[in-house]
Amino acid sequence: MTGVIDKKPEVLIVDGNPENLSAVQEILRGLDVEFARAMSGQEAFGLVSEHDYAAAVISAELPDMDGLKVVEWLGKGERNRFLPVILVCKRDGKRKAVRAMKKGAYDFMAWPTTAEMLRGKIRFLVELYMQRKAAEKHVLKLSESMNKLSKSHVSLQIQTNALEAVDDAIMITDHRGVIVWVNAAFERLTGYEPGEVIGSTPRILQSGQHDARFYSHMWQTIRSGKVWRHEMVDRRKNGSFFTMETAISPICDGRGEISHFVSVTHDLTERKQLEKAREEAIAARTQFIAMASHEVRTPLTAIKEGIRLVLTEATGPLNDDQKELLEIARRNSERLSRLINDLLDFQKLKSGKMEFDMHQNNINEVVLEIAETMMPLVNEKGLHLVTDLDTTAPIVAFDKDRIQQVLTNVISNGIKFTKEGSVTIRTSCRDNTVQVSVQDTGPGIRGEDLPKLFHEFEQLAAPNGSKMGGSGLGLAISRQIMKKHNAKIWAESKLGKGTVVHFVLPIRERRRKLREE
Amino acid sequence: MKVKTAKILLADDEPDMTRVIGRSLEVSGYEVIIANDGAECISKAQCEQPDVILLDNVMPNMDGLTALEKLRSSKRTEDIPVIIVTALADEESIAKAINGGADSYVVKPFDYEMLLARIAMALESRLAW
Repeated sequence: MTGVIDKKPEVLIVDGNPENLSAVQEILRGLDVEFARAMSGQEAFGLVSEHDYAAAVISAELPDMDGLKVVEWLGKGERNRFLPVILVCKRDGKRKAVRAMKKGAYDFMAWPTTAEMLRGKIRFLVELYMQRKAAEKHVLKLSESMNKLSKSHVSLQIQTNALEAVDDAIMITDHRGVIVWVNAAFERLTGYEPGEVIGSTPRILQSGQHDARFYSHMWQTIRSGKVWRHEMVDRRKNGSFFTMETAISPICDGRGEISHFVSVTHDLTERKQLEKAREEAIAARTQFIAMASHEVRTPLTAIKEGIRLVLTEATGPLNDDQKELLEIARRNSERLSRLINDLLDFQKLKSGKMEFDMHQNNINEVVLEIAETMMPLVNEKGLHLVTDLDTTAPIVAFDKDRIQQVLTNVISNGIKFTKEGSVTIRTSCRDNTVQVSVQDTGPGIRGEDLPKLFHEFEQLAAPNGSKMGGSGLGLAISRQIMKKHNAKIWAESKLGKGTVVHFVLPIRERRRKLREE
Repeated sequence: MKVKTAKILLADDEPDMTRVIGRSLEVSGYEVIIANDGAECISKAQCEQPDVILLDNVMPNMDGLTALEKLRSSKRTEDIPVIIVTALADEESIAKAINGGADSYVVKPFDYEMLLARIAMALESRLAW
């Protein structure tokens, strides 16, 4: 469209007679225009539907139709509807001229005509056309910028709505700290309506829990163009305090100078309450377990000792039946003791209260010691205990008592679940770790049950459905102990083939420790 | 034979405990005196002059640690070996007892053989004085 104005305006001349065409063109030659010529109504239609013309001079008598038809058709079409037409009639064509004016022709002229008159009219029409085009271009520009304006208005509106919709409290102040805008969440959080705070400073929110240095550090940070982020306590309109996390960012104007500050505040009250509740729950559980186990330990001591004393026959001889029953009582009191100890150990491990005594130790020696203590249990069940030790295994740092505990748990599990065959303890070195594997020839564990193996209080039923005695804590404790050694414990198993439990101790840990020492 | 006739003061607020442990100790050849709380423990220690005191650390009237402090601050009882009997296996409470002047400790539910070993050790240390 913009290109149109740069082109010379065109005048369309329509006449069946080439001499007339040339005559009209001759008359108009002095004007700064281009010419388009058509020798018939049809030809004129074709041109008019594809080009814009400043004016048209059309003969009333065309070879294929009446010139009036062309005028009429122009009035109906989309393009060139306002094309001013000068109808050229014969001298006696006055009636036709009147009809042409009625149909929308701009003017008419009798032929032959006065050159000056035709030239003058066309000049005027071309001038008008030029002005119209210029106006059109102007309007186009105007509407484009209107469009842009309304688009930026829409995006501004979206941004404002978004700031209003955010769940965090947003406050904008000018460079002096005077509040100029707050969002709806600000009102919800502080209880202040926008009208109450706009014009004042954020000092109205101060809780008195932070000193002057705290605020001056904040101002220093944001005035230097940096973001200040802090957890702090403010006061609501109703006087109550709330804990929040706030980030204040400076906003720069076009020249790079700080014009405003925006603060985004996230309410932490709920999170703080949850954290507190959680801590209280953990403390209560720890206290409960400590208390409960203490209350159990004293009576258990009396039970154990009472049974032991009678079993020694120091209080009189026992018959075999009494001995057997007391032996059962003794065994179960031992089991109860272990459960209590496991519970306490587990609690201590979970709460991080268990201290670890890391020293350089030989894993093979530890394995042999434990194997020794396990022999009575193994012999009792008619099993074999095999040790297959890698003598090149290096000395590594671990808490001997705790690793003994893990080994005892894992090996006694193996013995407990194995009816016939063997339990094999293997040590090996691989990838900067010393690996210990305990393999049994027991019934094995279903694949889906394997992950549950190291969960607390999880006792897997034996394949025949029966449950084995135990606290269900042994392996959970073992896992926690390995965790404290930055080490892994895991199991592999095949139903009917037995189970292998592996754990690894990192060798690198030892080197680092040595350097620290 | 000297060791077997030693006198042990057993301080615990649980009558079942003092009855059973006391009986076991008698069977093992010791002379046993019972105290049911901290205050009684101190007065009996003063007049009976036992060779070893087994002191429960949780008792009414006066807890074990307080009783220990009193025992250690009196000329007549300061040298008597004290074994703290505790149901709390945490390092903190054990450290408190040792720092308070206890010679050793056993954690409930203890092994009787272990208790005997502790007593023997305490008596030996006394003889060494």
